[in-house]
Amino acid sequence: MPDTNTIEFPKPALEPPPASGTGGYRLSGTQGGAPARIARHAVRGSTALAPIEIDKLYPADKNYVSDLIAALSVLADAIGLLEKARAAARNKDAFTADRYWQRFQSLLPGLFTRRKIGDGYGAVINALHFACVNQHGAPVSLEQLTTVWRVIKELRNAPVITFEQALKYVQELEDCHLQVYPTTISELIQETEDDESIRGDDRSDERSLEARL
Amino acid sequence: MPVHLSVADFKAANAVCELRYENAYLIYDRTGLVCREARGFYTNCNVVTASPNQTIFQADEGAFALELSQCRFSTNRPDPSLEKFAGHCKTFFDSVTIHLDVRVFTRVGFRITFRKDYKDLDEAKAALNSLKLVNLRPEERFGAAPEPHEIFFRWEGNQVGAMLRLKAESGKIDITLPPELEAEKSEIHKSFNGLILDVDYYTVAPVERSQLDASAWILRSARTIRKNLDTIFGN
Repeated sequence: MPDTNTIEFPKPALEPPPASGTGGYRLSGTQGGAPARIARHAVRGSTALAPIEIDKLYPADKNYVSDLIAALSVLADAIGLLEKARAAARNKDAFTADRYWQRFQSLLPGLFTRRKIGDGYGAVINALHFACVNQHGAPVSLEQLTTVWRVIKELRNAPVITFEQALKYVQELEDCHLQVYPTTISELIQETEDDESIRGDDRSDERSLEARL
Repeated sequence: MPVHLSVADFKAANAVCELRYENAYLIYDRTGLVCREARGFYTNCNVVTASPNQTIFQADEGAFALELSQCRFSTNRPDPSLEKFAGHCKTFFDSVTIHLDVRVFTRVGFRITFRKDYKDLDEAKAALNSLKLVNLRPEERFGAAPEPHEIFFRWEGNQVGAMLRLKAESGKIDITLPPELEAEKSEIHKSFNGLILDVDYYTVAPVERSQLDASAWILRSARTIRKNLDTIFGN
């Protein structure tokens, strides 16, 4: 005859740990309502080095579209297009490479609409948008294609990156001569840098004058 | 007589989401920050117990636990769509991971308990056994009973895993009211019988912080759970 359970109302005090059986067998798992006082379970998978595959963490589902899952799908398409563009660029087929690059560019607005995913994600997508705009139709090089492809792959594997992490990717894009900021901002930054260098020159002139005096 | 079951017949009775990580020693410095933020986010949030390795706080939304190597949010009243639950989890987990500087989760788990009420325990047992999940002839085992009233399954790969527990359960509530209430009835007794589905869906491989959006993961996992339960029920 089964035991009659007494249902307890939720209470703030600690409850005993989850059911354990004969021989101290414990059902390791997500713990119930109240935390266990002795809460040191064997952690499965802690010895594994590789992080989880993003498609296992968020399996694709046509009937359920969250920002993140939708972005993962579009990012997968983007990676595919960039791979084809790289293959064409390696074969010196600039026309085909540019065609795939333009198709990649058309995916950016869709990715931009999902920027709620996080600040880091938004920063990378914005940088890619301006990189495309500032090309003014000029074809991208194989090196640039490879950098964008790598950044997109990284972003797909870890879409919830912090803003600081995103800045590293933006720097990588800049390092391969993609202009990742709006033109006006670039000009302003340039002007500021010029002003600082002029001020620096003035100061060094003053110092040399003082030294001569 | 076979009983047709669907997850839609069950009501979510309890939901827990838990993150596990390597010992986060910043807990000794920054628990107060997490508590203060929680008080800003949640309604009537108060610390219930606090010790160096474990702090528990309770709010109208649910219970929060912050420990050296894990943190969790649980509620006994999950909203049907779980969107609010997922949002509460995300807010709490974001606060914990930022303040405790947790970068990798060794395990992320989502556990949900569904319940369907039956007239009596026998009916609940009949519903469980009509699923024919165990390939055993109905004869008395261990001198106890011919058919089990609780069944466990665990599926585990190298990326994710799941545990499913089905139990025909009988419960009873006995409350004696204080005489100061001057209520017509001084005692309340209620018994109920039901079938419990307890599902724990979790990651096996480590999850980086930059991979996890707790809200999106919980909602996606809830769909995975419902879909798989319906498959198990033969729908």
